[in-house]
Amino acid sequence: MPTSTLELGTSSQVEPVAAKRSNVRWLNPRLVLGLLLVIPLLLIGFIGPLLNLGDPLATDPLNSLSPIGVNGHLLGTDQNGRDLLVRMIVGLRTSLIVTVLSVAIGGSVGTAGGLMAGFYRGWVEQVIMRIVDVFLVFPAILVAIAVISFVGGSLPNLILVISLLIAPVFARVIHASTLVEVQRDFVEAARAVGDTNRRIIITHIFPNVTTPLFIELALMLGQVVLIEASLSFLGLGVPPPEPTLGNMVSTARGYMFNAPLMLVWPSILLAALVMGFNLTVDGLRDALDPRTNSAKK
Amino acid sequence: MIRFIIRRLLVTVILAFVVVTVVFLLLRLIPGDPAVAALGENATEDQLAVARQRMGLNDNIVVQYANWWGKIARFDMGDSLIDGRPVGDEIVRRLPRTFELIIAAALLALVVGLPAGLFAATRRNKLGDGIVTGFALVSLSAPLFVTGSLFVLLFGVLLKWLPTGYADPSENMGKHLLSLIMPVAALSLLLSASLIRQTRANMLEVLGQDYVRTARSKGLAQPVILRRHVLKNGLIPVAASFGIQLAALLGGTVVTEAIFNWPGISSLLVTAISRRDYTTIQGLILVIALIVLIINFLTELVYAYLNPRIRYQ
Repeated sequence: MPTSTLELGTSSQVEPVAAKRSNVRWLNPRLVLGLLLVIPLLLIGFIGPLLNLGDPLATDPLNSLSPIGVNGHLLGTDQNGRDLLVRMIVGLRTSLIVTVLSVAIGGSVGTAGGLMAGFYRGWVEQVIMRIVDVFLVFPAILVAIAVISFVGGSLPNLILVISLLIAPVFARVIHASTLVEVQRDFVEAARAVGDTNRRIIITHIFPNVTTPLFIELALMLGQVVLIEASLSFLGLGVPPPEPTLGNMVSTARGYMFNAPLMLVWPSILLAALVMGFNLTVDGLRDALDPRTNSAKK
Repeated sequence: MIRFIIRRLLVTVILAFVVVTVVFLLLRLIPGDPAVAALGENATEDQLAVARQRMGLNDNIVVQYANWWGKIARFDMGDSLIDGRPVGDEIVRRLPRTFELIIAAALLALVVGLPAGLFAATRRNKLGDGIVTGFALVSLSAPLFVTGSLFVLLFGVLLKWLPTGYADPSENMGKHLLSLIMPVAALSLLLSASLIRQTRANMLEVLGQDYVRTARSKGLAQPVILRRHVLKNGLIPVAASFGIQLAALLGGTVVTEAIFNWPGISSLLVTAISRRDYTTIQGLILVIALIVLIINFLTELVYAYLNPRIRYQ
């Protein structure tokens, strides 16, 4: 699967096959390792900033660029004497807020579009899927750079633009799965007993496309972290002095000679977060996708 | 095949039309007066007037749109808001340097990714497989700007093995090649990683097919099976995704060129964004989008050539 920083992968190979519960291998090493990385980072990102750790913007010019553990700064300070650990935790929260909200919004819109396109077919499908095609031609990061450089990088703008960019990915995956599900007998049966289209989509089709949906959700979480971080790095994220992991790395590049660790910490955190999501995706695939399962035996 | 080419060409032309229109509209997305956004609150009325002229904001929007097409047809992308030089000239001057990065990174990724993926597939679940897939996972997870920055820190600043900036090939070819190493290595990491995963997954799938078992049961040697049956069928989807990844590589150059001070079109984009040089940004986005379209078109042709089923859909 293409999972580079700079374009959104579509898990087109994931097929909606109802996995037998007994065959699902939840305890596979990659899923466990992935969740062991992701869950603590989620907790740190969302709960950490509430613990009154200090002000991420508070400067302390006398202690600028201080090394690890000096004057109560556990990971040292940046060029303005701001505590790196506190800034990283707050930056992590910003990344997570953008990521979770964008994936939630983009995922919902895309899933709804994909379900409708796959169920109603005809012109609905044509309109939705052609829009999807146009969006997916260009690497998401390029479109994000193009749009954000004109509208400006604020939290709402970032979330809006990124959701718009990832919705088509969900639409394509869910559309493919819906096409398969619509053909099944229980849909026919539901029609026969007079269920409305809406009810059929919600209670009969949607529950059967959740497997590819979950895998795609996990995949996109990692991708969006990368997109948000890259935008911040390029100066298109949430504007400074507000800390983000991307702009911390970007700033640290100017102090490589004096404080190389200032670059290392946020880098490790970002890599760990994305790797956690990527491992989770791989693990979910191992657990839910019968194809890779049977290939492993 | 001809019909397929014509159909894809038509789609590409329509998309190009959409791109040109969207890029035109981008300038109108700026909240407030674009000229003020570009020059700041302190600009004098004269400066603003000049900027509006350069951005083509003075006429009614339909006339502006027509003018925009007229300019595109003449390959005129306007003048930079900052130094007043033609945007097109600067892009043409920098384009080869970006292509150099992309082509070198793509070649490196192919040389590394294909054999490594194949190697991992033939040694599934053994140590070699673990090392290769582990490398792929780490490369996919570390953001490009992180690996790039760490490269500079390690090889450029701490060890001082490699130059951290661009060296002009016409002045010093040797130094130029040295300066190429780090950006190309960083840029190719992601592509090699996804090639490894893709190749490995496809090879494993093909290795499980009946015709491979047949080949084995009729006594063909492993290398012959790999070459004749597995590689040929397994590489088709890899070729398709490679094209998509090439377009993604163009996105990757934005970060790469910024980190390694590489004077290509993508670093021009970053500079233009930070200076709010909107005419330059517009021109660059247009050029980059059109390059993506061309890459996609060529990828589809290659894919259709490799996989005849596609042509008749």
